[in-house]
Amino acid sequence: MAEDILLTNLRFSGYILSAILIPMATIILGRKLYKEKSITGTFNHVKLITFSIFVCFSIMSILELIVEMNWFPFLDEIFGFNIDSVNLYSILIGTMVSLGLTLIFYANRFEVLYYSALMFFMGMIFFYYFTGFDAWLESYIYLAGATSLIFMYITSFRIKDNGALGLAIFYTLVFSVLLLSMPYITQIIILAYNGFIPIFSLGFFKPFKQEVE
Amino acid sequence: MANIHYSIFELIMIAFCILTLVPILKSWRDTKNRMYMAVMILTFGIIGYSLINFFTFILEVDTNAYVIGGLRIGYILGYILATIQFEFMLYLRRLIKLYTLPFIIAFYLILGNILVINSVPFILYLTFVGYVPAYFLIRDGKRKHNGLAFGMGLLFLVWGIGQAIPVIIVVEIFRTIAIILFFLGTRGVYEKYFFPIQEEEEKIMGTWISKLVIKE
Repeated sequence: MAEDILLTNLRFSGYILSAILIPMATIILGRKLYKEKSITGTFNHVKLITFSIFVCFSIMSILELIVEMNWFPFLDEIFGFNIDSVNLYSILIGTMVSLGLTLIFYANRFEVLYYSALMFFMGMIFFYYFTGFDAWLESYIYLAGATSLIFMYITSFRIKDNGALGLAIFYTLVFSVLLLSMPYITQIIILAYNGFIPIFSLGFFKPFKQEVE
Repeated sequence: MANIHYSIFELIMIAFCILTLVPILKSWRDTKNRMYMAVMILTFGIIGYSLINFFTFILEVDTNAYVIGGLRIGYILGYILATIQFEFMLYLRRLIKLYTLPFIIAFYLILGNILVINSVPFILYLTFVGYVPAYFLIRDGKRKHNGLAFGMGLLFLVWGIGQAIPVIIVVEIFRTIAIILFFLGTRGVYEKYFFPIQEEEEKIMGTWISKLVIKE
């Protein structure tokens, strides 16, 4: 009984923290991005992609909290909470992993592939609405997620980029939640990435002292 | 047996394509312009498409036959050509970031055809890929007095109109005309007869007016 209460408390604290901290981190990143844009005149594409990933994650965190609290019951079905069929949750996760791949393509300057992952994923969604076929969605999310994760680590060490490494760690934590549905461990990981996000977004995460330009 | 005689159209098309390739290859060697390279790739694509069509006529392959699910042989051929055409447009407009788009669209449409027996997406896609480039090429060709672009626009336009009429003989005639129009574009016919140089035009006009004045 005590264990159940502890688990429920951990779960809800995780959701509340995510719903507060992730949107805040997104706002901080957005402000940084806008500031840079006003100085240079153009958007830094890598930062823009990172910001987009955070926007998706913010929407997801807020909706997760709303659904868990059962504030709007009609959202339950739309949100879905699973990645084996097309719903708001899987669309957001899919967009995040596709953006992860886009980030790698941008970082490595594979110009031909810049929008490929996003176009492929959008095609998948359209395809579902026209044919009702979504059997490959889960496989795509896992495959694209794993690929972006591996290459994000490789890229971050290759170009010594703090942002990419931070994002790779963040992705690792998020994917661990997706893969491991074990009580306590999942909740601890959620708390861990909630602790990591402020460090990352405020720019305190700097394992590479000298970044490669 | 009925379709074998249509193969003659394919041979004519292949011959015109080869004739088209000669001046383009020469121009490409002289200028190294990427436009010529793109046109060459497109022409090779059309030759490949005509060769496949030629063999389907010779071997009497029914292009309406289903390969798997709702996917017909004719659809596969259509998608191959549409992909080449779309890729060509992206190459001309230097939209490098969208190079994979034609492949992604073709992939989903083929998959859709396998799962659902419906030809509407195929027709819509081919219409888009046929007429949109035709409009831009004809407009730009006319504006910049570029016979090659103008000829290519006519190729896409006439080819597209032909494809819309589901009668083999009509399709073949339209395609042959389209390739001849393209061939004329590479030979500088449009520059010579359709887009006269403005100075020359003014000279002619001037002479004509001055003659009138002298007469009066």
